[in-house]
Amino acid sequence: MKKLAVFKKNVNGIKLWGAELSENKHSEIAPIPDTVTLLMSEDVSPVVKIGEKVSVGQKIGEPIDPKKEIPVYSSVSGEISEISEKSDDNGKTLYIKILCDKRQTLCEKFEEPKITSKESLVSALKTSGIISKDYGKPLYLKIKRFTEKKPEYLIINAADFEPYITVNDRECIENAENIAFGIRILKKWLKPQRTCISITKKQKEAINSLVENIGMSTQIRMVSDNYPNGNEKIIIYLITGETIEIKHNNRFLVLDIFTVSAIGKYLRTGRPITDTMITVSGPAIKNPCNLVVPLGISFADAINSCGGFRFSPCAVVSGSIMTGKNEDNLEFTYVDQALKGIIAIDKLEKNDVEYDCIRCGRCVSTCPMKLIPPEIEKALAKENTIKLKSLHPEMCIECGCCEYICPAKRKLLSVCQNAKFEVVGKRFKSGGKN
Amino acid sequence: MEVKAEAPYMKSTETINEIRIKVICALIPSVMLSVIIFGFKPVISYIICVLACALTEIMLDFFVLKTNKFDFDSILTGLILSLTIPPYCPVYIAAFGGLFAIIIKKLLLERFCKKLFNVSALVRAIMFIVFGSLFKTFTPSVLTDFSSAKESYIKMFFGVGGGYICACSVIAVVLGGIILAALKIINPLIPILFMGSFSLMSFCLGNDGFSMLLSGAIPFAAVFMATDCATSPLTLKGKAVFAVTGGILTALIQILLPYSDAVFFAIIIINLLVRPIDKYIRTKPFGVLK
Repeated sequence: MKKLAVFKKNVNGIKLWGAELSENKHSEIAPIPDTVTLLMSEDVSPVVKIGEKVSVGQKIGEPIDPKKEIPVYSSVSGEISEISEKSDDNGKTLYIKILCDKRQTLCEKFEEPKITSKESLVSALKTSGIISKDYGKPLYLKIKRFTEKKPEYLIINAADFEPYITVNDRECIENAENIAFGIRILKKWLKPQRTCISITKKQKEAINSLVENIGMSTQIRMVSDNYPNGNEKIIIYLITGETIEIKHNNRFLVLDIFTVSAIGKYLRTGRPITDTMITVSGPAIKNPCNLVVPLGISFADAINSCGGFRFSPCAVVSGSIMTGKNEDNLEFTYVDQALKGIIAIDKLEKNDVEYDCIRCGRCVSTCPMKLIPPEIEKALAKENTIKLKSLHPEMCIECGCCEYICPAKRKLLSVCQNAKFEVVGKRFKSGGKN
Repeated sequence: MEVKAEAPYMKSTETINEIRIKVICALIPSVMLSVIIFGFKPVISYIICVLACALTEIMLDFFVLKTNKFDFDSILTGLILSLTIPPYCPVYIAAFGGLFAIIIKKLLLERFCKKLFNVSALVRAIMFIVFGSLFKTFTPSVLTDFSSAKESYIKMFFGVGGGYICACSVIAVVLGGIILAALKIINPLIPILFMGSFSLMSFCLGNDGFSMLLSGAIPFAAVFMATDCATSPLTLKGKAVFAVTGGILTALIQILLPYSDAVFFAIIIINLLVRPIDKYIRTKPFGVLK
């Protein structure tokens, strides 16, 4: 334990609650639902037909352009019942509905990927179908940036900074061998100069389990458990003390521990990722827990496997309670790998009354990016672009801390988002990018 | 871009009125000690002043502005204002102060210059100009016959000093300040730097800054008026500049002019500086590489 070091760097933030609901509960495996629906973007073409039998881990979608997308695998065994297409602002999405036979027969073609070089690691990660939980995009995209240049630092985040979410913590305790294997592979092929795991003081069990499995080779560092320390920029600052621009970041590789565990799991077995762990929690859930679910299960099924609602919830939020989306249609919203949790809340603070700003300065002292939301709001209302640019709203990470803390209940998050769009949008036009 | 209309789903439960009620609670030690020292006479002026403020606000809202925005702000203004007047002064002064404060706040400050000044400091300064001679008559003189300087400091700190109601006891004000700082309503930086720079400046000008600090209304004004969030800068750096300027100005006005109520004038002047401070003294956002 000698390498446990408390790092003194600190960033503004807020203390939030919620993790205690599902913190010390062993993860439960959700029963296989009647149907699952897997989503594919338009760059992936289905390789199965309606009526075809599929098994767990069978490839059902092959990317048309292998540079852009990753394959999609069936998460259950059963029969393809429906392939439908929906288009929205982000382009077309294919919905593949599978009727489950609940036997979960495995596809027999798994073989352990052989890693011989960095390139083969990247292509293995591409075929694994892993989507990074913190990043929301295929993992190999993140790793690919480091194939030519070694990363200076490999930071693995083992803490959950989002309220209610306890996925990373659970993964450390339950699947530490996979994590150890994943870290070993990443270290071997990416050759980072330094590697460290960030964790909060509260996660005693997780620390013990990590130390037991990983040993002393990887540094474990404590960070404070403020929200939003999970942001990539902040965690890089907390660990290395450097502030960087995320867009041009080819020095630090930040990975979620859940993703590292998925890498380890895939490389050990060769079985593509077909399930994920989510936290189903919130005051309105009867039995808040960490749930291992097959991909493509609907929110309604996932919530039912936790005992359903205690009472009718006010809102069901996907992902993070601070930045997530309110899902109205639980039957037709599906779990994907990037999802961290489903949170059902009992009451919403009434947002209709907005008082005048009393300039209490709480938002200023809370903003992790040290922005000045009231001034941004004023500049945006006056459409004063020069002033707006001098306030740097493009640095906003949209964490929602300012709106959380505001006693006048002003809608500062949307203000900052609009300001950011205003500034970034204009800059992109003039720079000829995007 | 479509904006997520409803996130965050978690919000702190604190509201503006809660903050004001907490400030009123922090004033309770001062109120109680004034009753112990001066008897029940000040209580009448508190009640009259607060009532005048509340009634004026309701009347203005109802007849002139046609809005319904009553909150605890006017009660707070009235209470702070009534604490800064002499303990034995006639009731009509308190009533006039309350009335005047709300008229200025509602019809001038909120309409034309967005709360540029701290209302109670502004009205208090105006009252000093209008009723200056009356104030002198009703103010009990500060006890000065102490055997040693040290003893006088201690006695003044615990509240045997005369002066205005709020100046009678520094310990009550300090207690209120600690309550507010613990509840994170004010930043303790402002009162500390305000009083510190005042003592230092008056020491530089050859006066006993510490005894001036303990005998006047400066601690009260530094804790409850200078920290008024509407009229203080947003950033930490700005707050520091604001407080130090305030302390130095108070010392200059009090010693060089000499005005006994310098602190209220100084607060009005530094209130004018808030907008420039907010404009020019900014913290660099995190991650801006320049």
